[in-house]
Amino acid sequence: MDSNLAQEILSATLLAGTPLIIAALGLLINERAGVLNLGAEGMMSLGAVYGFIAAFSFSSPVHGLLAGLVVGGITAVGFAFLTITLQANQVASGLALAIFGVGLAGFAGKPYESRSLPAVADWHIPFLADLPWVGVVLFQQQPMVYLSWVLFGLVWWFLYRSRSGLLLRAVGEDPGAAHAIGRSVYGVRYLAVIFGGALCGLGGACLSIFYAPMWVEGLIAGRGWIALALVVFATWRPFRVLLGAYLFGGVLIAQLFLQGSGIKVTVPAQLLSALPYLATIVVLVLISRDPRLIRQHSPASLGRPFRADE
Amino acid sequence: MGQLTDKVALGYGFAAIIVAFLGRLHPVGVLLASLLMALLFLGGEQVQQHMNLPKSISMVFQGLLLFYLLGADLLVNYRLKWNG
Repeated sequence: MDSNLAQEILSATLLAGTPLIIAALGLLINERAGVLNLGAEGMMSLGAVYGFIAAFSFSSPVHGLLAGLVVGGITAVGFAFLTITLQANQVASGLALAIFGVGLAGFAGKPYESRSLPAVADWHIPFLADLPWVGVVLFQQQPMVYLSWVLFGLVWWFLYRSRSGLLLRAVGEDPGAAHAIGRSVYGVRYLAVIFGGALCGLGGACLSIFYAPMWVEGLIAGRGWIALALVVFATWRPFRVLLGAYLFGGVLIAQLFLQGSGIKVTVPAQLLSALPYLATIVVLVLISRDPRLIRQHSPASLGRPFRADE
Repeated sequence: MGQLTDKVALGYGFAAIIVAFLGRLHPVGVLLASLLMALLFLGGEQVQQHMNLPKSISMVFQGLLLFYLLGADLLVNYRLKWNG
């Protein structure tokens, strides 16, 4: 294989993994606070469609990203109200949000289905982009790739190096104890859920503005569910989320190249399209095969509603 | 339908979850709830035919139905008290 093709595949891999990283980082914070939001697919769909509409109407990708962020956040407020204030079942509420979001996205995006956005130019990072080989893959990317790295750094720093991150983890592990020392469990959880929703919306918007760049019904294609699975199998740690997302992107791009190239493949195309999902799950399951590992790392109060007794 | 397409069971799995919750996790309730859900699906098809709206509008209604159901559970499980 010549080196140009390898560069192309690797650089496309980073691009394909990026929406997943953004969404999964949001869900990670969300779940670290003890709230399980299965509505990721719906929030990503809504972010994608409203992000696209905004980017199209204002002809500015930045407006689109902001719209995705805001729409995801607003949807998450509804979810937070149901599960935190009204103490509804988190799993069922999340599924309702997934169905609702995908449906509303299909409805709202219908008039925009045949439109497409101009492709956004790559950003060349000065000096680094001139590095031989690596520069082309890592530092001549779409802006959203850099955005995902910045977000990764922020989430990592917040979780492990800041007081508020410690409080967030405490709320996820034992909301009763956090409440007893006078911290607002509801407040922390609301913020975490809104952050998670906003990043899911942003991830969706990245998908429709930078990656596609267009909107069709079913654009998200299960990426919300994959992001949720990533967080679990990454045992709630940011670095593994990054690895898992790039793995998904890699297999996605590899099978696209395989289908596009002239190589005779005897496997049906549908099976190849299913491959990225399958490969991600299989590899992540193998990595975290030890059930003790999952149990030790999962936030202890994940999925349980908390009620502050007066 | 008498034909097989890759979208033959579109959304039925998720709808089944709503049916289970709507039936209050009771076998007889599920029977009744599934009838209500069938109405939503049929309504979605009608809306598509007569008003040119996309079929996904029926998913919006399914989602809202489950939202309201779960939210209203609060009134079943707790008594509201206003502290003035």
